[in-house]
Amino acid sequence: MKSDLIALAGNPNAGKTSLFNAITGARQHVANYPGVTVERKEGYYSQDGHDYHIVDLPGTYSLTAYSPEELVAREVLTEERPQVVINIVDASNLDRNLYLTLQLFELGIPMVIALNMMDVARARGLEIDVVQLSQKLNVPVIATVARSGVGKEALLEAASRVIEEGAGPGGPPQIPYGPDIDPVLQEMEAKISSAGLLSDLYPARWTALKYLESDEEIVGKGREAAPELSAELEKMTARVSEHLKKTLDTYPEGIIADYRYGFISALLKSGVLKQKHEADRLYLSDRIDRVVTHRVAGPAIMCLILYILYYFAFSFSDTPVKWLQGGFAALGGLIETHLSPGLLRSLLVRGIIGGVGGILGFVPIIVFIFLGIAFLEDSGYLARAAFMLDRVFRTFGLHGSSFMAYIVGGGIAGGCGVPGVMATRTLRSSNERLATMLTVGFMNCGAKLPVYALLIGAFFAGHKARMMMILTLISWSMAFLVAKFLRTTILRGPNTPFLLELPPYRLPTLRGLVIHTWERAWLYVRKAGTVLLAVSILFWALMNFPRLPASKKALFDARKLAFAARISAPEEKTVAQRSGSPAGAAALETIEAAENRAALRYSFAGRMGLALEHITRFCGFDWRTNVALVGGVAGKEIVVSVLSTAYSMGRTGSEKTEPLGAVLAADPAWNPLVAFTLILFTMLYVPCVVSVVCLAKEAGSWRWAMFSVVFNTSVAFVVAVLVYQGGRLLGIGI
Amino acid sequence: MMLSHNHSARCWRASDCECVPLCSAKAGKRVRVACVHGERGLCARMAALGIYPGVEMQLLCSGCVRVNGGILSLGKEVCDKILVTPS
Repeated sequence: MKSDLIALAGNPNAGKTSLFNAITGARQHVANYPGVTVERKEGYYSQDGHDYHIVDLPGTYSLTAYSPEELVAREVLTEERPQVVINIVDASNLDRNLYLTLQLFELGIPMVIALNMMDVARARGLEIDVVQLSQKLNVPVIATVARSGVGKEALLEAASRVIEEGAGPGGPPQIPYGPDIDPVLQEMEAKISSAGLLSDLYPARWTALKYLESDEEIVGKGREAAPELSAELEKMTARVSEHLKKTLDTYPEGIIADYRYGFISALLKSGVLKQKHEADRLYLSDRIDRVVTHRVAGPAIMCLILYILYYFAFSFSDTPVKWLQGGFAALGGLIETHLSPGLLRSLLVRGIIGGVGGILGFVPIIVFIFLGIAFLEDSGYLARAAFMLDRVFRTFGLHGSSFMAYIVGGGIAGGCGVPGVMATRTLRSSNERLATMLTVGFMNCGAKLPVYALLIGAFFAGHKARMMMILTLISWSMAFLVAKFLRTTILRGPNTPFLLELPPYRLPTLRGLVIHTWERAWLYVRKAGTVLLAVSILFWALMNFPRLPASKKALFDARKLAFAARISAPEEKTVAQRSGSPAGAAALETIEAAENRAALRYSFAGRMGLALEHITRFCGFDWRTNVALVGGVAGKEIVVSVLSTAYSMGRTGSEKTEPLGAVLAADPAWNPLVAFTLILFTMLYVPCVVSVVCLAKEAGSWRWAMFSVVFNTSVAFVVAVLVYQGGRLLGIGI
Repeated sequence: MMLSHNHSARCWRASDCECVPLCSAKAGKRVRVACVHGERGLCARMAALGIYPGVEMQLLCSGCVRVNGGILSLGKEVCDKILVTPS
């Protein structure tokens, strides 16, 4: 049996997602609408042996053509033709929420209204006459509290009744648009319905309204279907627009909105809504806003909140990160003891566990950061932060909403570029969005921290905090400068005006937070399991093949044999015994290390590193650094592990071996300048593979992903050369 | 069923009154929108969110207004385009 389709429509922050989760539970999945980065949430539920298929439309205020969300919402409504729309309305803010309801009426789809957040409305002293509202709008209205599931059953019953019996007689009220619009609207409606223009998709009155609003999508479709009629309708629209401009200095959309809001306020005043407290009292939310968006206090509060967020994320995730990393290390050890040395063991331990495990080890940090961000988002604070920072970001051709992407991406060290790229979804203009996406990679994500930690520890040990501060400043400056550069060259275009609803402050529900966090964290884990697995294996192969030729291998084997022979000689043994340390084993390790180094140099990766030396010598990197940087494309933390392999660490690691930092500090080829240059290069060069894949998906084309690979690496190279050569000229850090 | 609609909230022409851009209006004041400049798309988006000629709103802070029951935050370049009169 085919299941009936139900659509959930409503304003952002009306509790749509809570209701969707309450109805479908775990039976849901999230995907993207084809071609746009708007999430499509679908789920299923059964009632009385009947299956229902339910689509959660993106939250919108209206059904215009000005945002992908609104376009998607009306496309689903008109093309998939749900049997019923459940319109979720925030009872504590009826004025605004019913605006969408009126437009849904005009689309002519049977509707049930879920009057949500009745508890909040009551707390604000609002008394809503549900029966009267239902009578006046001529649709079923069910009071609900989605976050606790109250009213869910009654709502679903009402929906299934509408599906079975159809909408009641009479239909919803028709909104009058006044003496300037109504006559021409009726004339247009008559023309459209007699010609049957787009009548398979839209009611004639709706099409006429969209013509009056100069809706590009509908006018475009109309032109295609009936060019002559469309031209006539456009002419009528132009006449009305001109008249309105001349007489009232306004435009059809203004009049239409005025009448819709007027209709709503008249409806509410007619006895549906009663305010128990005096109408003008400031809500708590307004009072908080006075402080939080204050010119001086606002930014200070924001810094404090961000600090708390990071403190929370890092201190709480410390223990699980150690468990996970310890777990992966133990797993590697287990395999090492049970498998004989060879390619398979090396692949499992170094390729797969080393690569994927290293990245999965960061999952707890990411989960906690996501949880913190979900809290800020659900509570309504993020919108305020974006509003406050819009002025700063605008200077560099970005948008207030770019802020979130930067913070998630590592604006304060420790984020992750992948969710950072995904966070750009809130940006409307594609140029601002691309500029943000392409610069998010400059932020200091968690994967870069091990590299910083290694090099700062080895060369700038006395200034750890100061160095991290400097690096944070550098990455923000670079992101801003490069964004400005992109926005004045290839991504030129006007700034999107900042216009955002500030949702009332609200205490997030645990359930909402968990679902929010889980969705994002799972996306990350899935990527680590697929893309990163493949890339880790690829890099492992590049670093292990081709193997040393037999002749060279024989040379090392001979040296080891000779050594073993010497060590078994009696006098040597006593020396080793007298010193009390396994000096013999250490010497053997030196030979093995030399062999590993020779093998790495001989491998594809090693050859790549050597070939790259021709270019990278300008910024002071030798072949081993190059191999590490090539490996770092898979994930920046890999730079450290490859470096340690290249400097013969790790593989033969016994406790006695010196840590990599000490080895680098003692190496004559290294100095603070080289280390600083490498830090900068690591910060700026190509984002990791997962980010690039994500960027390709979000930007909708591989061209931008490839651009980011080439562009970021070029920026990194130029900066590295400037810093290195400048430092040498001035004699700093050498 | 018809609901009566109060027409007092219609637009005034900018030239007829003392209009100031929204950004120079004082926080905490109630104002009435006299005129919205700018390209059609932005005007339409603002209209859908409740800012259109004739509407009354309360200025909460520099750039945030309570209008038709919700709070909207507006960037400076948006505020510049909205001319208001004291209500």
